[in-house]
Amino acid sequence: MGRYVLLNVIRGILTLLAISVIVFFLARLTGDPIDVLGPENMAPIDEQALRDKWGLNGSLVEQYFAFLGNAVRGDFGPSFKYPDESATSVIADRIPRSLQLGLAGVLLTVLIGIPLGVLAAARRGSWYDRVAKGIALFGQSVPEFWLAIMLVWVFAVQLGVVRTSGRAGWSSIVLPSIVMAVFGIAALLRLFRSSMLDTLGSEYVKLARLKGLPRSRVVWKHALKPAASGPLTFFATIAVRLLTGATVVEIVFAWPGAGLLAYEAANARDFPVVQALAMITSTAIVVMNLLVDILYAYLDPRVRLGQKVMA
Amino acid sequence: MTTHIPPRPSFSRLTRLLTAGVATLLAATAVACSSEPETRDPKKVTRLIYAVPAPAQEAMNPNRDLAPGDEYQLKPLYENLIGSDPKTGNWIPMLAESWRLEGTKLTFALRKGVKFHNDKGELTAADVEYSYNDLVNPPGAISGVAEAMRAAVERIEIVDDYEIAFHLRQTSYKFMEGLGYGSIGMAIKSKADAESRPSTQLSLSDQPIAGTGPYQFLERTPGQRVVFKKVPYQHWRQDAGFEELEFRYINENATRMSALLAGEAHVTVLPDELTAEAANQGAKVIRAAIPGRRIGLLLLGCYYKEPPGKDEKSADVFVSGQRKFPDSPMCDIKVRQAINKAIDRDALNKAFYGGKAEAMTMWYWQPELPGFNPAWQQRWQELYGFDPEAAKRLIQEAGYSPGELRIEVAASPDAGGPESADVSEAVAGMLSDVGIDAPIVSLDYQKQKAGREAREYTARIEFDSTSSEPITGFEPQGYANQDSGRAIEDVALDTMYESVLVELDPARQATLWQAFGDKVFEAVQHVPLLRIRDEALVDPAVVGDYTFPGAMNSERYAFVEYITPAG
Repeated sequence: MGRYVLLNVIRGILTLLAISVIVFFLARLTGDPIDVLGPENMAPIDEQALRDKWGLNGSLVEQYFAFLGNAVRGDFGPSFKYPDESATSVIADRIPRSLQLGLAGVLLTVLIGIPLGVLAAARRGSWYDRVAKGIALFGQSVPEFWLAIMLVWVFAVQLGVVRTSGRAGWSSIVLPSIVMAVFGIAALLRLFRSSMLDTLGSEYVKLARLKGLPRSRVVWKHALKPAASGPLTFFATIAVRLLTGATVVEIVFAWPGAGLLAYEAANARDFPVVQALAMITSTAIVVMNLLVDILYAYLDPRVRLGQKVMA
Repeated sequence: MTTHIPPRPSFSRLTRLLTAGVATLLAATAVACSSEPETRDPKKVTRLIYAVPAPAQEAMNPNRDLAPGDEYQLKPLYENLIGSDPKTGNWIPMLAESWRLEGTKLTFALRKGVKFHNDKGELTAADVEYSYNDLVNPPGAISGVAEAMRAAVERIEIVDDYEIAFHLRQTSYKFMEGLGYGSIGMAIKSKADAESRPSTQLSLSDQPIAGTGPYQFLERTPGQRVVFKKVPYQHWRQDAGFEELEFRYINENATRMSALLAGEAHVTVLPDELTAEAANQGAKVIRAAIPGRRIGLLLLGCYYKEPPGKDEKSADVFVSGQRKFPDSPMCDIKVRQAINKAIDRDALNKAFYGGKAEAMTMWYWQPELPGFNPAWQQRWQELYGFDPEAAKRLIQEAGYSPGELRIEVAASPDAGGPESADVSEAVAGMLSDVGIDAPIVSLDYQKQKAGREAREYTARIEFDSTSSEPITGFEPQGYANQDSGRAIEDVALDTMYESVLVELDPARQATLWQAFGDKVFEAVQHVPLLRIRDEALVDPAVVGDYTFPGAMNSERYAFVEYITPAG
């Protein structure tokens, strides 16, 4: 088991190293930050001082190793967009806001997606099932930005029941969390419907019905629990989104989270913030996958044995 | 054989409730959506909210840490020595009551009794000196004016508390611009406040150094807003119209429009198509006093063999007849004239600007400002006006048979406006109509710019949009001693322009500027297209009027103290 964990840790570190190379050099391919942030006729003496301050002197390889050495210590350098602020502090300020929105979105996803999926399975073939399938199709195919603008137009502008944008109280989180949840609702609905259909067809459910248990109890207590294990893996995807923020949603709703920060930092060629966001996100994904691998190995010894054989 | 018998839980009541809820919501929406825009009664608000796209940078020192275009976020706090008339854009006295030039000594008489915010004392010459030093030392200021200031000033002399003299190495109009209200102007800050701080490096959680503007700083939430409040005394120049002012950052155009229509924002700026939509929904459009945004086409390719260095003059380096691209068609005035005559400006105006743009005779000379020669308008049709047959004739006279003259047209999104690529494509079509082989080169603006600055293009047209102060704005567009690569390089023109730049007497400068304009007009340096008035959208229930001269791009979201309440 120890060897298996060690191998996975090494693999994770190599993955992060590869990502750091890709992120660093891809960012530089977009051009020179001085072109975007500086005035057109910047004096060479001012430009040089700024390059020194931002660490843009030296060859790209030198810059990369300086970035890597600092990043290992959690220092991603000064933000270009926010002079006198570090990239790390800028991101630390934004991630809780994305988490807040992400959690609201997950809550809606669970509270709506699971019941809809269960009810669609329980009433398979009915008009309700057809409507649920329509919702699933809509949720997975509708572009987020379009839905967001439509919701703003109807509920904020025309009806005036919620805010259009920004982060100010409960009424500002309603629409962005709905938009964030729509895709998840559709996905969970489909997954739960499919999983519940299998479970509801099983012998023990039929036995429970024959024993005279109420229908709702059979569905919600005896069938739902075993049906839930498959779809729950979908939460890994949701968890990553929760951390990194949903860029499109945050842009449309001017929600000041990590997604909006990523967009603005990329536009401003704020390399330190772009790199830090990419590395933090990648690290989270790598760690999460590592934990899942370890958990699988713990639960199912064949996994680690297979790894051992492969190794 | 097994039969699937789905249990049927009782949820019919829930279903009915859901259906009824959705139906009610849709009905309410339909009613609300079909209602006519209503006339709104004046509404008093404490805080005026100006919705703007987020700046590229957020910082607390406009002199050092904010590039032109981002400085608006602190503009309500600060004033400059030289101001800008909100109705005409002309320079007017601001913190300097007057100035006089004796040789190369430029002396400013400062206004007395001007208060700094937060009881940081009154304006004196020491504050001006501090602000200058803060701008130029140490190197690294991102503001566009540091180089011009550093190059111009030999030393500063404080004559007394209310008089300060700049001893200049050479008189310089760019130096004067650096003291002005425009996007790169030097903000005057309190020396006493700065010296009371433990560090001159201000983080976003610090208070900015006190200024003298009609609004003082209240708070900032990075990525979301910056808020100001009205000074608690009568301002020497203009009392703010609202108790508080907030710049709220909303990047998405549709969301900014929604915020305005929902009453969450009271002023904003939108692209044309959304401006019309917002106006239909009840927002009020306020147009700039003058058409400050000017669009045109740059003609690239006629370069000196070696460009002059920063400290050199064209006359010193140009060897007659030696060009980087000796065969560039852009060096032939007939070709430049033919290009101008191939462009149907009215069609562009109707197609891309809703017919709201105005004719532009010369790119950097405006009828509202000194130095404009009305005779240019009379000769416009002859030299520049749309005439495809004349364009074909000129191409022939220049020695090209149909299809032989090849001129690339760069189409870069956001090269000075969201419409830039579309306009460029339309221009390519018009050039083709007169027999010019005009391939469209679609590329990222930064790549186009890099190639232009390296003077790589033999014959290429590039869309450009400017709203800068005309005389200094001409420099990167038409003067060879720049690394912008935009100009048709011409020693005679460069020499005349250099004489304009060092003349600071307004009357003499206007005469020189007009004489220079005569030469530029005859030389057909550019393809002037159209002038556009900036438009601001306001909530008519909250905002009564907003006076701004019309250079939103360079004085973006400025003149906010001239926004007055409704009613």
